[in-house]
Amino acid sequence: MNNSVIVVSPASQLLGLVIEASGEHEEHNILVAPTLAEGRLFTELLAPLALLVDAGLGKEPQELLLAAAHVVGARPTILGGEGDPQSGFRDRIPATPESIRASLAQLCTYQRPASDNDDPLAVIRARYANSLGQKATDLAQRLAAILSDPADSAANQAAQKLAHRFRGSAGTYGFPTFGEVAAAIDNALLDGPDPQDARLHKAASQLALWSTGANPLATAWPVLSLSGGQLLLGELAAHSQGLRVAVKPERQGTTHRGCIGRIVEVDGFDRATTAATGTSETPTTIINTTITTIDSMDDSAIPVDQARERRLLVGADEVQIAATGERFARRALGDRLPALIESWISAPR
Amino acid sequence: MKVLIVDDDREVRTLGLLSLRRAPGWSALAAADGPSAIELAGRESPQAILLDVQMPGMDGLQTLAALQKQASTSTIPVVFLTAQADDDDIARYRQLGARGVIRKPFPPLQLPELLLAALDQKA
Repeated sequence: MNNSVIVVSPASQLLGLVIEASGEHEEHNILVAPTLAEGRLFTELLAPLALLVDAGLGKEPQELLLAAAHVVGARPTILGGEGDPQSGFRDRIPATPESIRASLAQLCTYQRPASDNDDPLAVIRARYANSLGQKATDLAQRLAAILSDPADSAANQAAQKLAHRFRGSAGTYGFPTFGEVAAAIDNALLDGPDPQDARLHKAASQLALWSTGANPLATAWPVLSLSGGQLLLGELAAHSQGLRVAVKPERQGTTHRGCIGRIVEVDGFDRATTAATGTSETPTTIINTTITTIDSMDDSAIPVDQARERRLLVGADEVQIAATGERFARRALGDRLPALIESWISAPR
Repeated sequence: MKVLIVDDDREVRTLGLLSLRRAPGWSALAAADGPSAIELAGRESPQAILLDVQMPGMDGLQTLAALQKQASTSTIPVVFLTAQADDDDIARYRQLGARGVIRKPFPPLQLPELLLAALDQKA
C-alpha cells in the first residue's frame, strides 16, 4: 500500500514544517508540490494516502485538489487556517509542528475507503490508475529525447502519438491533469518541435519526477541534508521536488543513507579569507550552531574527500558553493539548485 | 441500438464498449483501425459508428470516405471521436458527412447520451 503524503503549498515555511515533522515518521514519504498543477498531477499519479492542502489556497484550487483526492481515495486534509475544514475535507491540521507531527502519526492508521462496488468503471479505472506512473515515465522519456534532438522526426512522431493517446484517454478515465499535460505536449509538437517551446519545458518539469522510474517513492532517493530553518527547508524541497531528491533536516547523530550533499544555513561569510587563491571562504556563523560544529559534522554518508565539495552555504542574501567558492544571490537559489544537485548526483561516488 | 466504436487506443475502446453496453437495449462492437472498421461495419450493419479521427495508417477521415463509398455502409451515421478539434475542424467534419463530434475526454458513463445527442443534431 502506498503510504505517501502529498503536501500542496506555495509557502516555504509551511512546507518546511511538514518536512521537519515528517522526519520522525519515516514510514511516510512526503512529496512536496509547490503549485496546484503539480499537486493535482502528483495526486493522480501517486495515489497518496493523504493530500494536505494549504488553507491559504483559494476555493477553486482547493476544489480541484479535492476532486483529485477523491478519485484516488486519498484523505483530503486542510493544512493551516482556523475553524472547521472546508466542505469535502476530512480534517484541518493547525500549522504547528506538534499538530503536524500528531496528524502524521494518526495517518499511519488511516484506511482508504473501499472501492465502490456500484461503480461499473472501478476495475478498469484501477487498472488505468496502476499504469499511470509508467505512462508518465514513457511520456517523459519521449519528451526528453525530443528536447535533446528536435530534428529527430521519428522521436517527434513517437512522442506526439503517445501524448495524443494519453490526451484522449486520461481525462476519460478520471485523470484530467495528466491529460492536460499530455495535451500541452501534443499541441506543442503539432506546431513543430521547438526546444525553446515553453509548453514543452513546463511539461518536462511536471513530468521530471517520472523521467527515470515509474514511481518516485518506490525507490530510494538521493538525500540532501539540511542544517537550517524551516523556511529554507521548504524552499529547498519546493525547488528540488522534481529532481528525485529528498530533503531531510539535519539532526545531531543522524546519518542519511544515500546522502549526496549538505546544505547549511549561515548568517554571513568571512570576507577576509583567501579569495585570490580561489579557495572557498569560511562561514562565520552557522544558524543555531557554530563554525566548530560544521567542521565536525557527520559526513560519513559521503566519502571523506567529497564531503567538503558537496556543500552549499546559504546566507541571508547570498549563497556560496563550497567547492568553488562561487557566490550568487539567494534569490537565484531556485534557478541554480537543479544543476548543482544534478552535478552532485552524477558525480562519481 | 448497435454501435461500432473505432479507436486505435485499446483503453478508449474498452471504456467505450463498457459504457455503451450498459445502456438498456444497446450492443456494441469495436475495431482498432480503419480497414477492420470497414469490414466489420459491412458485416454487422451497426446503427451508428463512433470513429476516432487520428489513427495510424488509415485515419478517421479516410475511413469515413471509404464507408461512404461502400454501398452496405454508406448510410450508417458516423460520429467522430476526437481529442483535438476546433470549431473549423468540426465544421469540416460535418461537411465531409459526419453526423456529429464527441470530444475526448468525455464522461464515460454518459457516452450513450452523448452519442444520441450527436446523432440528433442533424437528424
